[in-house]
Amino acid sequence: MMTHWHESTHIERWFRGMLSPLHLLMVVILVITGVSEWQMSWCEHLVGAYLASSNDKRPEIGTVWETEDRTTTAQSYLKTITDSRKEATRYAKEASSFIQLASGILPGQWTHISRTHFKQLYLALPEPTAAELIPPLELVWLFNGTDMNKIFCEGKSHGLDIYFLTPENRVIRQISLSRATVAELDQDNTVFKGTLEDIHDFAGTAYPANQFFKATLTLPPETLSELIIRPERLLPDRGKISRVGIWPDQTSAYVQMGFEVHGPRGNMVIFTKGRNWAVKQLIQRLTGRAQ
Amino acid sequence: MARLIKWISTLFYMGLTAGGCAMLLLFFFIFYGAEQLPRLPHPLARIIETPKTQIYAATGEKLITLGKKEPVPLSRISPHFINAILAVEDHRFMEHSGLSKLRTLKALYITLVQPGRIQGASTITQQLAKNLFFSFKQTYLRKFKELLLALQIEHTFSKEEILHAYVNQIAFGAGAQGVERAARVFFGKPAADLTLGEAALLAGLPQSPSRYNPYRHYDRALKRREVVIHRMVAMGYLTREKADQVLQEKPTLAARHADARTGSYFLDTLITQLIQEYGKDVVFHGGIRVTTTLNTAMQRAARTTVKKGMDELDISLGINKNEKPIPQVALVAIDTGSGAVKALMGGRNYYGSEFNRAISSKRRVGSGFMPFIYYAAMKQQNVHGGTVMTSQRITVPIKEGQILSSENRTGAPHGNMILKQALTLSVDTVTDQLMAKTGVKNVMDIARICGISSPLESADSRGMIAAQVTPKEMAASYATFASGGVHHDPFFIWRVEDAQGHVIYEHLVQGKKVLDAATTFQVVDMMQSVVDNGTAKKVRQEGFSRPAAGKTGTDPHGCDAWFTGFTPGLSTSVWIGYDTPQKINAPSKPTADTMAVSMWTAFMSEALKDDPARPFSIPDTISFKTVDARTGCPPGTGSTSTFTIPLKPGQPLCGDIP
Repeated sequence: MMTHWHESTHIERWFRGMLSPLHLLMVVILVITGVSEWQMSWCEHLVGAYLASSNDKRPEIGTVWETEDRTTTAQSYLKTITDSRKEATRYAKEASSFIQLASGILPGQWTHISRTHFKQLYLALPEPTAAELIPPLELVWLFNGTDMNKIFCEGKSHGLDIYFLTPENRVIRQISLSRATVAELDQDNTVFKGTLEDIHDFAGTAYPANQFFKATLTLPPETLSELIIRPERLLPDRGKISRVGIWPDQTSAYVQMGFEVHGPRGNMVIFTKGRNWAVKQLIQRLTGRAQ
Repeated sequence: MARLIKWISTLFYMGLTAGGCAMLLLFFFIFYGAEQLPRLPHPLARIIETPKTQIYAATGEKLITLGKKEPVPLSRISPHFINAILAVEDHRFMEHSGLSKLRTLKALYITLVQPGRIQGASTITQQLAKNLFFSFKQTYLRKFKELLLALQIEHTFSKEEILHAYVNQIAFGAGAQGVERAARVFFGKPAADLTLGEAALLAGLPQSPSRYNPYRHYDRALKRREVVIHRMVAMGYLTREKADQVLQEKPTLAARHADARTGSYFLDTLITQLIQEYGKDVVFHGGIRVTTTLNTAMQRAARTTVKKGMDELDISLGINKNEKPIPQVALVAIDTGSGAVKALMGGRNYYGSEFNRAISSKRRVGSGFMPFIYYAAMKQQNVHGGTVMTSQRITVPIKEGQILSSENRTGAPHGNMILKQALTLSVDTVTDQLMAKTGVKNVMDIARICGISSPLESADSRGMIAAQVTPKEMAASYATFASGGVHHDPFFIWRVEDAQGHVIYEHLVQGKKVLDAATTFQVVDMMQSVVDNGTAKKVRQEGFSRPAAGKTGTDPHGCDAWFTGFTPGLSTSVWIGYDTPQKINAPSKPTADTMAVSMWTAFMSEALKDDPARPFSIPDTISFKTVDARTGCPPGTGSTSTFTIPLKPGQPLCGDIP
C-alpha cells in the first residue's frame, strides 16, 4: 500500500513533502496573487471592467432611476395641462364668435382673451343677444370706468364663464354663457322642430297668427321696428305661420318670441326677439287691455 | 504525532477546497448578480439634476425649494469640507478601488462574531452606490450589490467625478441635499465660503442627519464635529493647535431657516394642498414655481408674537420649560378683501409639535359666536344696537319641550340694557334670549354663509354657543363682517407655473355677497365697541388706535381662550388652550383670554405698521343716533352711559325687542 507524503507518520518526511518544488510554486503563486491583489486591487478592476461591459444591458432600476421616472411623469402631467391650455388659447385667438369661443374652451380649460378681441366678439353679436349677455353700457363702464385689464375665460360643464379682472385678479364682473345661450347664438338653433305646445315656456301665451299680426299692424311704426328685432329669420319660405308664442319672462330688456310654422318640412318654431316695451304694447292690444 | 500531522493536513486541504468553492461561488454571484444590478447613468452628474420646485411668498421672497439639488464643481466647495468629509467618511478614498479591504475584514469579523449586528465599512463610493440605487434596508445581498456597483463606478469614473457626485447628493437633514444646499440652509452661504468650523460641522451630519440636526440638537452636532476634527488631525489635515482653536468656535446657524424649511405650519398646509391637487411627483419632481399668499413680514410678526406671548403665559401659569403638557396657540391672519392667508402659526413651535391647530383643531369658540347670533336677530327681527333687553337669570324656551336656564358667566351686569352694550360686555342672558327668538337654524345659516364649515350643534342654544371651529374658520368668517358682508374663501396659493413659466393655475378673487351691508355695519359697530370699551378693551390699553372690531370667546369650562378681531383690511384669530382640553389656570395676570387679546394686538400693530389706517366703510343708508345705555332713548339729564347707534332707515328708537 502506497503512503502519500501527507500521510507520513514522520515529521521530517512530512516537511520534505510539504516543501517540494510543486508545493513551493503553489505557495509562491498564491502569495503573489494575494499580495498583488492587496496592493493593486486587480480583482476589483476586473469585476468593475466586467460590470462596465454589461452596463447597457442592465435595467434602469433603483432610487435614482425611479426619481427620474417620477420627474418624467411629473413633466408629462404638466405638459398635458399646458398643452390643454395652449390649445384653449389657440382656439380662443382664432374664435370669431362667442359660439366658437365656447366650443373651443372645454370644461376644465381656461385662457385669457384680450379686451380688443372681446369687443370684436361682442360687436359681432346681434344687438338683443349682446345686450342680454352684458348690457352695452355696463361694458362701456367695465372698459373705461374700472381698472379691468384681463378677461379670463373658463370652460365649465354648463358652458363658459367669462371673468373681467383687475391686475390683482379681482373679479369685477362675471358672465356665464350657458349651453342654452350658446345654442341660441347658433343660427341653426333658432329653429325648433315641433310646435309651441312642445315648449313649456310658451304655455298659455300662444296667439293665432291672424290675431297677432292684426294687433301688430295697429302699433305705431317706431314700436313696430322694435317689436321683432330680426324679422329676416321669418322671411325664408318655410311654410305658413299659424301661431305666435311670447315668452312670459319679461325681466330682461328683450322678450323671446316663437313663430309656429307648418310647412312641407314639418312643424317648426322659429325664434326671434322683441324689445320688452314694444312687446308689452303688443300684449296690451292682444289681450284688449290697451289704454 | 501522526494524528496531529494528519489533522493539520486535512485542515489544509479542507481550507483549500473551501477557498476554491468560495471563489467559485463569488464568481457565480458576480456573473449572476450582474444581471440584477441597476444600470449606471452617464455622466454620473446627471443623477443630481432634478428640477426644483420653488415656493415663494406673495411678497416675493423664496420660502423653500423642494427636491432641489444644486451640483457645484469641487473647485467651488471649501477645501475644508472636502478634507473633513474624507477624514471622517473614507480617509483612504484616493487609494482604494471602491472597497476598503481592511475595513471590510474588520466589519466582516464584527458581523460574524456578533450575530444580528451588521458592521458598516462603506467607502464613499459604496455610499454613493447605496444612495443612488438602493433602499436603506440593510441586507447582505444589498451590501453585495452595492459593492459590485461601487467597483463599476470606480472603474468607470475618476475619483474627482465620484467625489463630485457624492458631495452633491448626500443628505444633511433639514431638507438639505448636497453640500451647496446644506451650506445655504445651515449657514446661509455658498459651500465655497464655509469656514473650517462650519465645514467640520457639516461633514459630521451625513452619518445621522436627524440625530445631529444642529437646529434641534446643537450640542450633539458640536460633539460630532469634535470627532470630525480629531479625525482631520489624525489624517494630517490639521495641526493640533488649529484643531483646538476651531473647537472653541461655535458656528452660528442661519436663523431664517427655522421657519422656512419644509414643515413650517404654513408650508405644511400649502404642500398638502399642492399634493392633493397635482400629486407628489409634480410637487417634488415637477420643477413648478408656486406663489403663495404668505406675507413674510406678517409671518415674522406672528412668530415673534406667539413666542413672546406664550413665554409670558408660561410664567403666569408657572410652567417649567420641560413641563408637559403645555398650553398651545394658533394664529391666522386673513386679508379681508380677498381671503388670502397672510400669516399662520399652527402652534408655539413647529419643531416641538407639528400639529397644525390653526387648520385642524376644532375648539369651542364660546361667545365668539355672538356676532352671528346678533346679525341673525338684527336681520330677522329688525332690532338694532339701541334696542333694549333685560339681562336677568331666566329660562328661555328653545323649542318644544326644551328650556334653557340662562345666566351670565362672565359677571356681566343684570338689568335693562341696549343690545350694543350687551355685546360689548358679552352678556349671555341677552344673547340666549336673542337666540331663542331668532331660532338656531337661522343663526346656523348665517354662520355657514360667513364661512363656518365645521359641523354645528342644533340641539339648543348652548349647543350652538359651544360650536367647535378652527381658528382659520373664525378669521375667515369675521373677515366677512369686515368686508361689509362679502365672503371670500380663504386660500393659500396665488399662482402655479411650470418650469418654463407657463401658468397652470391662478387664483381669481371673487367675493360672494352673503350679508346685508347695513346690518353688517351695525354688527361691526357693536364689535368695535367690544374693542373700545368691552371685553377686549386691552387692545386700546396697549396702544392699538386703528379702527378695529372683534369679539372675545371663552369656552364655558375655561379650556379655550379666543380673540378674533379685524381692521377693515385684515382679520386675525388667536386661540390659546391645551391640545387635550383642560382648564387654563392662571393665578395671576396675564390670563389666557387677556393673552389672546394681547397677542392679537401685538401682531396687528406689527403687521399693519406700514399701512395707513382706514375706517370701516359706512353704507349710505346708515344714520347715527346717540342713546342712553339703559333706555335706548336719546340721553336725558340722568343718563350716565350713552352709546352712538347706527340705524337703518325706518328703525325706531326707544323700542324694546318686539
